[in-house]
Amino acid sequence: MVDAAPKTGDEIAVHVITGFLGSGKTTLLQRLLNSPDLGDTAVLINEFGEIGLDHLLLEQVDEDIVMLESGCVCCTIRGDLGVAIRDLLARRNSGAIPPFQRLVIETTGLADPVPILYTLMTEPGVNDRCTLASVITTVDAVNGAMHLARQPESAKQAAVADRLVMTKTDIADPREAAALEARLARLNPSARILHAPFSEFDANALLAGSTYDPEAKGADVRHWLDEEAYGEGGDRDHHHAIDVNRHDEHIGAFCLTFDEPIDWTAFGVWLTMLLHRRGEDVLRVKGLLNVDDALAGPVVVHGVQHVIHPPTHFGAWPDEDRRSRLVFITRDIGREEIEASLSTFNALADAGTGADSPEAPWQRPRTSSAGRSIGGRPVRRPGAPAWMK
Amino acid sequence: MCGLCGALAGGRHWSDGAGREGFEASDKYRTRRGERQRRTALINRLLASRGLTIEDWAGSSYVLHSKRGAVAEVSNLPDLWLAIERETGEAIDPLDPDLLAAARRGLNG
Repeated sequence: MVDAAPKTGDEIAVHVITGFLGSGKTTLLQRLLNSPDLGDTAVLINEFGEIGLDHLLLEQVDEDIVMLESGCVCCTIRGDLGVAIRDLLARRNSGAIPPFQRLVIETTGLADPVPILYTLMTEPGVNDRCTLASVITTVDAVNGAMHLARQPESAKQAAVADRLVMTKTDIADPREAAALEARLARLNPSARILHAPFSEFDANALLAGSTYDPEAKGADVRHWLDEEAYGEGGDRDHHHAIDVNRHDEHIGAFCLTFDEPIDWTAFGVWLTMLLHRRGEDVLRVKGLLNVDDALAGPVVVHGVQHVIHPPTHFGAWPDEDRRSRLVFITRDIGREEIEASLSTFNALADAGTGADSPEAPWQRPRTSSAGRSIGGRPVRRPGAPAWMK
Repeated sequence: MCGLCGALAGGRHWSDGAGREGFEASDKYRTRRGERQRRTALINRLLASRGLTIEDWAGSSYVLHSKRGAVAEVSNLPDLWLAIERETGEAIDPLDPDLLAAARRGLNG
């Protein structure tokens, strides 16, 4: 993926709201739209099927809502979304609609959110104006456990989330809700879990700042790097962590720490290769990397499957810990495999450059050419034959 | 674009550190050319066991060589892995224990 164009400074923070059918996305959206704090927020909702059910329920919305014609999970949705966002931006620029600072995109209940994130990061005219701020996934406290167990889309939506909003906690059995929360925390320890008894819900807090900005929302970054949340107890017993965190015997979450700097060149080679081969199984990568002690702060990386957000360098570390930390949520890939592989690539980067790199025999320069020597005697460029002189 | 040879400068990939804010503090990522040299050397160490090499072409692309000769010109790393998959018939896997063991032997040897 090629980087976004240089940002203009007038960036629009984009929050993607996803969640399984009936998990409360629309109620959450209604709540957000009714909040006076969110007057600067535009909303895109995604009609599913022939009946615009979400649209019918969202009676209070105004012109900021644009219906997407395609509701299916495929490439066409990206085109629709790109056009819809560009249209919104054009209307914003022309003054036809207020200069909104935030954009909320609601996906369908069956949607894989990754194509939407891909669109945000790659679509020309969108990626230079918009920044992905967070992925918010609603999970129904009554039926969520069943969805997670039976619907792969539901497990994936929870795994890629930055913030998990548990809905219907007011009508759910408290013990079942607590069990579901524990299950979500194992599935995606990097996400903050919020409860939405909607009478008390702080909609503004949900959309505040970006999940990936340690300066604006340090608490978020510290949360997703909280090693304790991964059941590892730091480095002490990390070789056993993957078994503890496996969800449905397929999805696992773990946090790796590296004392030595992670060479950025090696990391780029490694991660692009990993995503090419196993991208479907790397649901999330987030990290704070010390790429060289000479840099003032960490480099923040985050990605969802094949989609990697352009890395950002921060001017300072969020705390005294200068170790590189990487969080992975994977399907059927163990912690030890990732750790051994990245460590090897990192060692390759430190082995020097250029002249000492191994060269294949067919790549070696021919030793018999002019300017070199054979048996100590110089080889000269052949002169003109005598009969020509 | 290079006015002399017509080579298009490739778009910046997320894995490029040189030119990114903050990275200039490190010698490793100060210049694009230096970073590409390090990347090329690293990949060649990795590919040695597969009979493949790459070279940097004009700072804008990479040329993949197999024993048959040059087989592909690619502009970035994802395209390189795809070209290798086409050449060898399978995607190169960074978790492959054989690949990692060969790379470590290269380091120690």
